[in-house]
Amino acid sequence: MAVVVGRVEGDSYEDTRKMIWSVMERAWPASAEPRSILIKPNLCYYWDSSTGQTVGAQTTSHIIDYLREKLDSKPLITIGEADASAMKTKHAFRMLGYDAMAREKNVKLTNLSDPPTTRVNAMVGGTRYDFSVSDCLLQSDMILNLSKLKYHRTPGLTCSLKNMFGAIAKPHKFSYHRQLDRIIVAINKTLSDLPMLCVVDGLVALGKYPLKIGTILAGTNALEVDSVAARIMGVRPQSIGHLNLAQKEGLGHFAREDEVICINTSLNELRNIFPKQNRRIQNLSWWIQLTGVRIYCHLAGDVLPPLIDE
Amino acid sequence: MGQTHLKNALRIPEIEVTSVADKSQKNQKLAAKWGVPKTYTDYEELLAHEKPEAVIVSLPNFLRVPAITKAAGNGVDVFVDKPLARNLSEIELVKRTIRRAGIRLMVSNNFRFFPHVQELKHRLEQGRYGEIVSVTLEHIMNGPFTHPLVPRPVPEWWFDKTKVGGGALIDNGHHVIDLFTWLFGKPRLEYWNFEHRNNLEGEDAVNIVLRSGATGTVGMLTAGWFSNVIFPRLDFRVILHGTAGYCSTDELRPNFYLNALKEGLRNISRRFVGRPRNILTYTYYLSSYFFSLQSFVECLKTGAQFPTTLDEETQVMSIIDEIYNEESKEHGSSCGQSRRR
Repeated sequence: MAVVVGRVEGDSYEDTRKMIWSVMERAWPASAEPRSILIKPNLCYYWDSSTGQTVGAQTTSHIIDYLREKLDSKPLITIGEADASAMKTKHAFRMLGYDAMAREKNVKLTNLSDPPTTRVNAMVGGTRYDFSVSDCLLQSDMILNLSKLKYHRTPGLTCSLKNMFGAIAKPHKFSYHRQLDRIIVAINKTLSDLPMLCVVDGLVALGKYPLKIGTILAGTNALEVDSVAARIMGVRPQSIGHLNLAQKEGLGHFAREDEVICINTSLNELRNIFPKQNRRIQNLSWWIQLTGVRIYCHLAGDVLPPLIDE
Repeated sequence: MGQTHLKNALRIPEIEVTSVADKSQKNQKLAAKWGVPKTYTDYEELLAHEKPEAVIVSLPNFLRVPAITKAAGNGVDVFVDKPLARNLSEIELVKRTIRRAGIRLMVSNNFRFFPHVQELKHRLEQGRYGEIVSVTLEHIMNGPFTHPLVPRPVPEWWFDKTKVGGGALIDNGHHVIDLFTWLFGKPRLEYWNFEHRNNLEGEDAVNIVLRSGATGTVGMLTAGWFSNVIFPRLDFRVILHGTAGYCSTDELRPNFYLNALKEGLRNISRRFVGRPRNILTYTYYLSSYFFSLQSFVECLKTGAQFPTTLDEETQVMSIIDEIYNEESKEHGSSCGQSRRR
């Protein structure tokens, strides 16, 4: 299974649309004609796509146009996202322009935290993990996993595999952070039988700072796609906990160089452009600052700002 | 905000915190853990049972006036977060209420207490830059859409324009208009512009041009909720443009980390020699809340005028009110515009 990587120079509407279409065309699973597709974009918070944090409504609309053009089955398309610890889907849809886009494109928006949901489970490392997942997602003929190309402080990177963590119906997902790698792999295992196309929006990628690098990745296996994304971000896939665990648990393998098809770019070019950040140094810096502040407040009898106190 | 004020109050020797009222059980437990003797779910019960001399009102915008009215009815002085109220008519109601009750009220306009802003005002008063022809004031942040370290949802009332009283203008915009008023006096509205990037009812970016009726200085003000920059970075500055030079608060502000180190070492040594510490000065910005509350207490003790007056608050809200009224005009405003994406 190949991972397709494309790049567009500049950000003109038409050039971006053409590049997205050509990447998806190369990555599209042969003879797939789903009658229903659930698009799960990464809408982690209310920051718009120019920050590199979320998938823009315009990017999603290009994908919807492609699906409608390509598929004779004229599938029912739904865009779904679940509530998160700090984000309510209804507000994210509105603030990030999805309400307006859904009306224009005549697609349905759904909150993956809303019932009906089904309890699903998977074993990871000998431990069973149970989740509630929206029936809308489970009953789709295909999941279009639409993630971002960005760093994340806790797991190291957030891409296709982490995006499905966001599909867990339970809103307060912060409680999973202590076992994040296992939970990410477990939820992906529960969904592994569902046909999935993974698309990574790197039009504005987020490393040390957001940068318009104009890239889109696509593939049918989330781990393969994420391993290529990691390389673009200058990170060894083996150094990312949930990628390693996903490989061990049989979710796929790290894509080899000969399994990557590049359109109008190369992995080296993208790796050179990506605004890399040393995750270990950043995490160490955070730890030093937070620990230092706590020690200082204890010694001086000063006050911790409430947000840190929590 | 309530937690910040409580922590500060517990460290001001002149204050004895007798009780806290909060609907949240979690916050009540926190208050008890920090040493507050009594907690209530309802502030009316607190006022009835505790008979405090003063209260700190740190409630959502739409709940402030009822709480102030109750406090005034119980003869209790009030320290309240900005904005005092959602519009001018609510402010006039508060003024009548506190006049009748004979109580004192101070609005916590904490930006005035930033050390670099205080220094800027001092230099302005000295005339170091000649006549100030124009001033730039900017405050852009994430507003209510801050993603805290321990995630929790944005309270729903922030999405309701009637409960907030508006959007970024009444939130961040209040700070910059207040600073203009404090520095130059008698603000008059010349132009305004709203942006609605977030597709919410309330605006998330505002540009305002004011002119001081006292000095003629023109202020170019920008405020917004559209940035995801987080503390310790703060997108805030005041720049004076004068006939004899210019000055920016960015130049007057020390390096954040060096300041933290310096203030931290000072406070540790103060503790060991038994001298009072300066609370939160290691954060540079957050100590402004402490100094603001401290000055409220000192003025109550001495009977001095509060550093932020109700007249100034009224002038600030007059500008805000004028802009919102212009926005709501059916046939458009004579001096501004509101744009949606």
